[in-house]
Amino acid sequence: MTPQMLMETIRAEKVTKAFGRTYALKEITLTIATGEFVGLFGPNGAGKSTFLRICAALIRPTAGRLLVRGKDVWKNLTMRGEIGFLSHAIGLYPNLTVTENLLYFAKLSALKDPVRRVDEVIDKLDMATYAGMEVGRLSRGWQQRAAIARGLLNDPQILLWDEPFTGLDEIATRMILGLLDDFRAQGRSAIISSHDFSRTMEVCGRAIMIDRGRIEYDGAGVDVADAYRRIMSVRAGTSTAETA
Amino acid sequence: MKKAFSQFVILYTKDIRLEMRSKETLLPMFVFGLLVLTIFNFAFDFPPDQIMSATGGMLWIALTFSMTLGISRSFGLEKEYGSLDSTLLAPVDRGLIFLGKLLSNFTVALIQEVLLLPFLFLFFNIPMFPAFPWFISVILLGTFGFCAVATLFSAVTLNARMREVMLPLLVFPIYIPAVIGAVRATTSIISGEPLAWAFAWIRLLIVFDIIFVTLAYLLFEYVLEE
Repeated sequence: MTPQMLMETIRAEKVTKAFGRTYALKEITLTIATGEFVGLFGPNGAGKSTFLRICAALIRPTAGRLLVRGKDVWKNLTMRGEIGFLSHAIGLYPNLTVTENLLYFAKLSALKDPVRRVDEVIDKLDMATYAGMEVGRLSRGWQQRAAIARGLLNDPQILLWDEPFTGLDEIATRMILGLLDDFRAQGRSAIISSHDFSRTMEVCGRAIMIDRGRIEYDGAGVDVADAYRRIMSVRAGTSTAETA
Repeated sequence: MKKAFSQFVILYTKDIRLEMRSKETLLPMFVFGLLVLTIFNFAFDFPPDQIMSATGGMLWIALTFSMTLGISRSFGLEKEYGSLDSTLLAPVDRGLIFLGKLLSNFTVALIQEVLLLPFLFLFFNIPMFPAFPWFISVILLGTFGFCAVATLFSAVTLNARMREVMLPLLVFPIYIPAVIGAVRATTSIISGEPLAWAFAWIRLLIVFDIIFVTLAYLLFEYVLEE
């Protein structure tokens, strides 16, 4: 492993993912440095979620390879413990309480002292009042908080977050931005997939735009909204031409 | 090895706890199985000397149909809330997830059978027979094999449209050899035929179970990826 690789949290080399004959990702090559926060944008069906799921080792790329902190997660099972993944689904069991859910995931991940870690995370997210309630009975906002607690349980070095701001009120959004700020202050990395440019770029220093499985923009994010508009106008043109 | 066993226990107890709390699988399975037996009870009017030869078939129709109904939900619930993804994010061998799910499905199926079998004996006036332990062995082996195949295909059809329709279409053709063995062995034992006749079918069930549990364990990782 080279020193450069050690500085990289994620390294994607020509990552391609096909579902049957449909390509969700086509030869994505990028690196994300340790401590870097990246906003991942693109229209619906662009391949954002697929890329995050590959980074989380939930699906295997059809071609290319993806290294997390210099290691292939498919060959190093323990590397999964370095990754926190939050999707728009809550990812918890609705018939178990918040504490039961968190204890299950903590024990499954073989965390040292799982009970203490669960208490820590519950305190961090100010969830003590709701810890004994079944997840299915919580409001959407508290379910989201419980989901975040699950994502932070293994103290991940890399956070992958799919649509963190969807369906949340201003207070919950501020809480999430605060959490991300803390996470960044600890020198950890994150990829945040979103449609909300302004909120995402409050915490991210880099923006990547994907469309039809390819990277269309990779930069500081100042002109990311322009890139998005360009893509959407090209898509609208294509769809008009197809209709005609 | 110790860590793997501990993870297996965690996976299994979580599924059992969920089922005992919601009973979303057990209740529909039991009610459906009971309905099938009730329909058979009224539909067929066998003379007493012929009833024994039909009981095995009726029992296994009720069991396989009701188990299909229950097992089709086992991964569906995980998918609905994305909790399967959260489990897959943990550093745990995918095969263990299969084994945990298989054993929990098997446990729920056994509870259903404990509740259902008295009705079989009651409806069809089956007297207690000396080879009852062998009858139980056939039930255990047949159920375990069915759970192995159905649990695997429940994961295969996880993202399929019309999942509930697809599952029996995939499971039943594969389970045919085992269900033939189970029906023949059950009928043979209940009818009081020499046990040696049933043993040949019991051996088939054992081989089926070993092959399909091993195959499903090995294939499960690839099934979850797609």
